[in-house]
Amino acid sequence: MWRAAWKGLIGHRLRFALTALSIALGVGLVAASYMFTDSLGRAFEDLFSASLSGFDVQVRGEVDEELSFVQGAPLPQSLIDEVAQVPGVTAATGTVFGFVQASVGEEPLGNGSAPTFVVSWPELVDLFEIQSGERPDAPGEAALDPSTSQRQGIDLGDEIVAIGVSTRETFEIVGTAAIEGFESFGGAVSIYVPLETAQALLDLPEQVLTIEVESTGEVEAMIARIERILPEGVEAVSAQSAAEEQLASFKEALGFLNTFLLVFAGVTVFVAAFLIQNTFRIIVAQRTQELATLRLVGASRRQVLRQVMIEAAVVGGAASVLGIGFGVLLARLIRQLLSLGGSLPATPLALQPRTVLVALATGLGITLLSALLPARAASRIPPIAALRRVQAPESSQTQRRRAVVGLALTGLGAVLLTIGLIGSDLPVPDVTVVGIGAGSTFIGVAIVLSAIARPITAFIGAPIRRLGVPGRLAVDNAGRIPRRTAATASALMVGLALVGLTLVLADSLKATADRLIGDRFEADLVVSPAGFGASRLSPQLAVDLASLNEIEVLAAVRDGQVQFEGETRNAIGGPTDVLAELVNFNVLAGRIEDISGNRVGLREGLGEGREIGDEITIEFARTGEQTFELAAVFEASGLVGGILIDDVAFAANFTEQLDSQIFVGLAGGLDLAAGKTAVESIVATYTGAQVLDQSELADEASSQIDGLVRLVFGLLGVAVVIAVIGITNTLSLSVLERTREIGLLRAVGMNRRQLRRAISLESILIASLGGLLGMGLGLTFAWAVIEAIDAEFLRLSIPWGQVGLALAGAAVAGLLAALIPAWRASRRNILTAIAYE
Amino acid sequence: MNQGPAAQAIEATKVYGEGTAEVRALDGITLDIERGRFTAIMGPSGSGKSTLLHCLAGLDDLTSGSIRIGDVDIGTLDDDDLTRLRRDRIGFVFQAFNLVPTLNAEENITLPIAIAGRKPEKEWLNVVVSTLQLGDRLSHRPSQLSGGQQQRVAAARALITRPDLIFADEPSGNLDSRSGNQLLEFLREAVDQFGQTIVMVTHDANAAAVADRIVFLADGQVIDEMTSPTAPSILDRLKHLES
Repeated sequence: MWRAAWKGLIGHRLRFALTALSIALGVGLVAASYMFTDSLGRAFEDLFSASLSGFDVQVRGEVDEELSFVQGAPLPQSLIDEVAQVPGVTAATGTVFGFVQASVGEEPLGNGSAPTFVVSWPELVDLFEIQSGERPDAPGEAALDPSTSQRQGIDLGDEIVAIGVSTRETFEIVGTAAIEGFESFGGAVSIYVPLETAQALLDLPEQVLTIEVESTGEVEAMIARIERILPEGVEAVSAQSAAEEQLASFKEALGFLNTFLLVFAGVTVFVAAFLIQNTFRIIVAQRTQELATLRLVGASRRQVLRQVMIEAAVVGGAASVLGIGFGVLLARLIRQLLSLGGSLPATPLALQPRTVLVALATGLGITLLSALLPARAASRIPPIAALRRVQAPESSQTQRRRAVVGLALTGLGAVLLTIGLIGSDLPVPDVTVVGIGAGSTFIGVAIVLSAIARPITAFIGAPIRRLGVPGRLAVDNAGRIPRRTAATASALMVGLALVGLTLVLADSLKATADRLIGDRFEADLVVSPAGFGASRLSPQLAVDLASLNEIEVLAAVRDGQVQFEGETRNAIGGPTDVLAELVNFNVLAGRIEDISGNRVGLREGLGEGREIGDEITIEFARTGEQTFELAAVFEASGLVGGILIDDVAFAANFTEQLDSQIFVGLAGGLDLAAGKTAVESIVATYTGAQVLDQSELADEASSQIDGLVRLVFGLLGVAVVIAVIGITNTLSLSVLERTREIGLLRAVGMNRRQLRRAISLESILIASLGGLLGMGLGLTFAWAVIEAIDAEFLRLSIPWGQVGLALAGAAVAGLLAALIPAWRASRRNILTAIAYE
Repeated sequence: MNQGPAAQAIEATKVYGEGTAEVRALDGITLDIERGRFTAIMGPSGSGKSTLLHCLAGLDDLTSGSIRIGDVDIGTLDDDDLTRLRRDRIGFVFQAFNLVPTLNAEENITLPIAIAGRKPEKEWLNVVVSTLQLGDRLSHRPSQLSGGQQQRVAAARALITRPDLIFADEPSGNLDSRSGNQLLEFLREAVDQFGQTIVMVTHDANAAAVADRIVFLADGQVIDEMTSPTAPSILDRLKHLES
């Protein structure tokens, strides 16, 4: 059987080539997802452990594990000496670090996507390595990370300006420094200055955030010994566990990214499955006589089945290996696209055994699974078929049965989708339920389509049919083998459904953002850090702005993360009485103005089931668990979210006191442009800050959504490419089957152009069928998603122009898919075509 | 109307392969196909009769020499012009697989006209259809027709454009004798009633007997001719030629 299978493969190598390509693309995406996130994870693992490698024990304010990345309570500087006295401690040094705004000349420091930090240079313990120049010892001296120095052309001797909590200082660059073996801390700008200078910039006089300890003793014993002298609320941890804590939260984000990428890999593989199944079915149909002859000379059903499955295994295996190679290239590409301007550390891509196994299993599995039904069909070919030319057409009973099965699957899919979207208590994640639901819906619709493809192609092909004989032939041929047309169109349907879903969700989100900003944003201007990254504004900016006559009111808000009911949430702090004037909170209960001190506000989702006056507990990194009283419940707005506390409570519970946004209300009667100019004149003296009015804020929101849409489309692109390959494959095989018919058409006077047109129109029709169905499903899914989210503020908005464009795109894809088959058909010798068996 | 021959082969030579593998399928054939007559081409397999037909019809090209349809040297035409010539001035009936399976009988008959983007003349269509006795089969698809009916539809398609020439390649080869004879009679009628010119390749003496003239080929050359043949006289001549 191996020999027959091998001959079968060689004999049909061209027909298998495109199938193999589609499997390879899908497998490539799977491999690339893992490789990308693995290497990213490895890079940060290296970075975190290197950053905590110069010492053995860290002393810090006691902090909940979940909040370890938020600054805890500062320690008195005097504690350093006390720790140094502990027997076994060879050296102890204190460190402070925090966000600053910094510039060189007029230009802000940084790449716009990662934050800028000031870090105190450790006096006794070697945490960092000087890579050029010397260490910053004296006031006014600073070392910079080599990556920033290189990117922005900053040489030793140049001057930079850093703006801290309340001061602004000029530094001379005396050296470059970084964690040993690295160029930067994940793309962030690091400015190393002497401890006292850093304390002044960060407004932490005589205080440190952590104490790094070098010791001779065994780490656990040292921790115990050090803890004995520590005051309450201060803890000692090993460098290793500190690194692990930081990694844990990072890995969670990485896991999300991996899932995100794998979802698209899954979609791609799913689409490829349609193509694989279709190709095997067509090849089996074309080899009916060959397979029947095998049966005639004594091969059993099992042997025929096995032959086809062996062929599938070889194709799937070879394609998977190819796909892993392709994945390496793709992972590089993804890294490039997601590198955010170089803020991700460059580490070699890690191809772990797990990745190879998963990729191989995916490629082989999907190929075997997809080939199973065609192989079963092959095994049912009766020996007598060897002596017959014509295959019996499908009975209408088969079609009816198929329609019933398809409808049932579609229904099941819809139910699962609903359950998954609403959220369930099933032991599987909701995302999985949604995925299975969507998959089942797609397969169900594809099966229904295979029963009704003929009338449907006739219906949507009505305008094409009017285009003379080529049009007429195109429509008839598209409906000729309904199952084949259905499978081909379905692959594109899946792609277009997800394109449609993305388009509608993005448009709905944009419309919502527009409306929310319109409804809720009562301020004239908002000042915020420019670019992405967790940057902050110096509180001094708000102080300076307050002196402007053009400004009537202003509210500087801060945010920080807290633990609330087991989840990490964002807490916003600000002058609530002023904030209530500048933001329309749509209060559902209580009053925003009542939020002060230990009285807080909650967003509707968080405040559900509570009443004004209820007691709630919030856990802070600095102060631990604190009890508050609920004063207001407000609607989600996208402007101010989560938990709202007043500025006094914020100052008491957080170490970092920097602003994240400043809402500005201009003096009455003042022209917006004039007001903005005035505000900008102050903001310009603070680097890395921007001033936006209402419409610019909306634009920024929609450009962020657009960025995400582009990423999603890039990832969906692979699936769409596979669907187009599928059309090409089906057409090539169909055209081959119709060789004699085509020869005849040419003989009786059809010219090459007309023939090409007939094939192109058939392709366009199949693609449009997939496009229309997909778009229909996509819009339905989008509606379901928005209904399921059931948020008052999110409303369905359909971008009809883009939907039309996507449909036109599907038709054009059909045209492109037909190029090669049509060209080859038109070039065939008429005589050999007519004589073709 | 031009009164010269409907088609001419002048020193027509077709060579396949090279060196020792060289096969001269046509070896300098010069032949006139007379207008309004039924010409049959006979010869043993490998004699070049099918090649001659294909070259005369512009489906295959010559190695040297020329083919003229009317006064057009078809060797000078590009694919589009050749296609147009086939569509408008030539009709075909092949041995098998003559019809487009997705089209019904009427659509198959009018296919060349539809390809040209024209409307069929209703009267001529009626004449052709009634001559070939296809009136009650027009809405059937090929798969619903018998072999004889399918070949009659093919013949009707060949006639519908009133071509200068109809080429038939073993048109009755796949049919039982009754259907075969019926088809040949129809072809004969087309010549007698409509003045159609037909060239038919066959190896069947009974089929060839309906022709006005028979051209015998062997090894790519014309070796004999006869006019007003009958089946016995053809068999006699074939026996004579083979010996």
